[in-house]
Amino acid sequence: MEKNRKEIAKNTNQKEARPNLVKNKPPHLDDIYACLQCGYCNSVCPIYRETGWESLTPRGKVYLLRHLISKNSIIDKVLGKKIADILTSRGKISLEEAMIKIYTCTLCSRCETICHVDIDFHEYWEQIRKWMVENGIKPPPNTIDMYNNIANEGYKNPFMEPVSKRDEWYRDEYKLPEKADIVYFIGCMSSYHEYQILLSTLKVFTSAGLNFTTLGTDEMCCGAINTMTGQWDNFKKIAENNVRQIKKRGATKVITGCPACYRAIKKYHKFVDFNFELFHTTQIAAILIKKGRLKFTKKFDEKNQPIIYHDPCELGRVMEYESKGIFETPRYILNNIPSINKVLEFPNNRMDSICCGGGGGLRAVNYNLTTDITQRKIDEAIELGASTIVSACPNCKAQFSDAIEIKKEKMKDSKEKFKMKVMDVIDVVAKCI
Amino acid sequence: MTELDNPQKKAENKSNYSKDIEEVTSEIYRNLTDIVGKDRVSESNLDRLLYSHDLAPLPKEMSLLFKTFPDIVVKPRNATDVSGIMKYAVENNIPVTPRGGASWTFGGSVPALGGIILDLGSMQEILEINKENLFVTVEPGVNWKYLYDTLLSKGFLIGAYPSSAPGATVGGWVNTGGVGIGSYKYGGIDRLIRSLEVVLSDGTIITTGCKNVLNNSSGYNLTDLFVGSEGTLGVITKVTLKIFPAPQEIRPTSFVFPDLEKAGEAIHALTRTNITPYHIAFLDGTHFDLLRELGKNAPKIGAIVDIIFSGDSSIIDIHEKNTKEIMAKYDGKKTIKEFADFEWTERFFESKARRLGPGLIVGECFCPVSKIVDMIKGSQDVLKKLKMKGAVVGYIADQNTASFMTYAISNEQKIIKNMASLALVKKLTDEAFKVGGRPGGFGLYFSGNLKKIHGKGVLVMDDIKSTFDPHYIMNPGKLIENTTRFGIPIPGFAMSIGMNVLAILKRIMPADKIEKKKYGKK
Repeated sequence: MEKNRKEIAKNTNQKEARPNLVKNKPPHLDDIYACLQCGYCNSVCPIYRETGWESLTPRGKVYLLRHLISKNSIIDKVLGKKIADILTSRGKISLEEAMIKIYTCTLCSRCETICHVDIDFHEYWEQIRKWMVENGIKPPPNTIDMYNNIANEGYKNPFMEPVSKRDEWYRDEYKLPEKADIVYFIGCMSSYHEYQILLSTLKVFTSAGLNFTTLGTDEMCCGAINTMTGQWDNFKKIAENNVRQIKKRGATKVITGCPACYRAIKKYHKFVDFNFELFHTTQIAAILIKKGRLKFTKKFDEKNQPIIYHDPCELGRVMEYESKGIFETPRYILNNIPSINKVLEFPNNRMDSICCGGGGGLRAVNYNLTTDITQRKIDEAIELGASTIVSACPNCKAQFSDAIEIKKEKMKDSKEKFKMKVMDVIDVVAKCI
Repeated sequence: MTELDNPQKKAENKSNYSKDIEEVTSEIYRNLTDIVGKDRVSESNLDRLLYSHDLAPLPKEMSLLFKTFPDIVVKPRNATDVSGIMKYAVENNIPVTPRGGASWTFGGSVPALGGIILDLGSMQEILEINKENLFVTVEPGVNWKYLYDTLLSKGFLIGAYPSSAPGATVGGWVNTGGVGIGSYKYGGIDRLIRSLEVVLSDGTIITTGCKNVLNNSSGYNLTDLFVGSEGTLGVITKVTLKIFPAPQEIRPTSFVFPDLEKAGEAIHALTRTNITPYHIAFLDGTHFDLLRELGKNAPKIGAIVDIIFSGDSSIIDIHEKNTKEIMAKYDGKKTIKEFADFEWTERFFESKARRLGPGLIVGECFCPVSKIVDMIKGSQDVLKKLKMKGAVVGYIADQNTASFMTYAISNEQKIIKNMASLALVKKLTDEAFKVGGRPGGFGLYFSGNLKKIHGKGVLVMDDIKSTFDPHYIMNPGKLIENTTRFGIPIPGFAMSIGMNVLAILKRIMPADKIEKKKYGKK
């Protein structure tokens, strides 16, 4: 496949042969035909809520796929496809346009909760993207850049940040052992952008006396971006690298604060053998609280209350579809911090939680759309009277922070005052110990 | 600053990317973008494809007869946009087809003559919830389930909503003259509307009622003209509905019957009392057999009647007790509460069996409640004669009317067999006519029935149509006359003969079988 990709890159200026999607049938063929086109999914799709385009809804995309893989009909055979198309006023569908439509999705899987014919959308969209890329259709340029950045030995992350910067936030302050029973897999988002999460996690783990270490600069992007954007050919290499590094440190447990990393590492099983256990930081923090190993000595600021908890799609719903979702653990943590009076809930929570907008690699495909989705969520939080949005995913945190900045900018000249804070669950814990 | 972090750079990248795929624009595109803005118009083949169909799958051959592909798709923001578009369309004689959720099976929102698709599904705001005088004003694209949930969370109840509430829009249901869940107690959509804002074909914006009080006084009732008009008279851009205080309790109950005929008798008896449940639905045992084939956990039973009560708990207690007695007379046994609750949550999901085909054909028709048993027998016979696997399901729309949504599985990948299966709809309609009922809708395919029902009234309808829409650009080819793209109307009898031929074909063909597949449990 790698060869295939290079060939395509070489021939960009030449006219490419249209991939034969009719012959190379996609995965989940049953689902494509089973779809009733009832449009129930439109009602829960955050993208449709913002854009209103049928082509950006699960229903529209399934119909599109059904069209792309359909064989010639009787009149095509009798009259020839070109004449039949003219007679029925149809035309060729641009595969690049189709690709943007398919990629304009946060992969939040909320469509699965309401699907009339039970399509496994949490797998479906990833598999379809993979199938399209394998057929030689180019994904949106920004996602290709991210793929290349991850593959680049100088970066090993999608953001084009240097490897050396990965551990600079904590390198000097925390002297972590070379070998330990637990590895904290930080993830690119926390390493480079939402580093507060990383510092909070280190603080919590150290104060609980855990024997842990990190992969330092040896850590490579978990590969979640590759799985989301259908560019799987590098994934095995990523899996091997990270597993090798974890094994090198003699760890039996791996903890990560990023749901995307969590899911990606789970997928490593298909490519490499390993036998360490995987945890999300909230699971560990909950255990530490239960065992009384965390002492809440400081108070959570009154003026940042009440807080509202947002269920990250990948930690909750998607994980629930894959194995078991983490819904109650973060709430348990928040409810057990003495100085937090009340944890508010969004009207759509747990399995029905609405995506923050930042998932599925959409930030790279249509950034403005993602922040529109987030602002609707922020408005909901304001209406409920919340002062802090708490999530358990660095990507959600980044997304909310961005949207709050944009909203502030918009409201610069208005008389209304707008204040909203975003924190990760682990930030809240760290603040109170 | 990285690329992922820099919105501006990203926006630039994006626009470069989309420039590559942008095609040369047409004049109509430029004119429409002047009215609504660039990001709300599309004439790409991809978008046109997605707006060329509804729930019913149409073979490409059908587009030889009807120009189902729109030339352009527009998403208006408000009545002013719609008005501008209509003015432009009249001047240039371009057909306009309004579209809501496109969750119907009759092709009401599928263009017959191409032209402009007016996608009102994107106008999704709830504009006003008036708590003092109990009404709600919404845009036409508001989803029924969203409206129901939102109002219920604020302590109000929407009277009735369609059984496809998660997919259907308010405007769409008004245009198809909807009845559905809750209609038994609160009536159909016609009884719930206070006022409509409508844009006529020449761009005039009118209001048909008075949002604060009811419509009953002298003066022609304009609101009712638009109810069930299938978008042929004007574009509805705002709907004001009356709402009710949320009931203390909504209590679903279910009763098991040895067969559907007994269930029909019991329903008939119940509707002759003063007990007014919120909703009454009936499902044949074969529905649950099909669910079991899908790998779902469904009971083996003769038939089910779901009766949902709403109101004060103490009054529901009395009604429930009396209902139980009536049901018992016809061998109906009350199920456990969990089953009834589950049935209530599944009320929107009656077409799951489609996966078995893959394909599903639904024949929607109304029959008098007094003839419900005949209709049940007739529908079951039709399924048997056409050798189709399906189930007779439906609900009671009001004390006179039972609505049947009988469905059968087909296989879309086998074109001829699938076409022949369409005969089911015609045959069920015939059964409905036999017992004094009528079909559920007309849309693109069944306008021939209009004359059968209304006789010379159709001529009056034609006059009304030409008054509202003298240029015949509002959803042309529907309802009043079934016109093909070549301007030749299809007379009702021709459609009828065609359908009968399909029925004979289907009876000759081997019986439908469901391939045994393993379905994972969910």
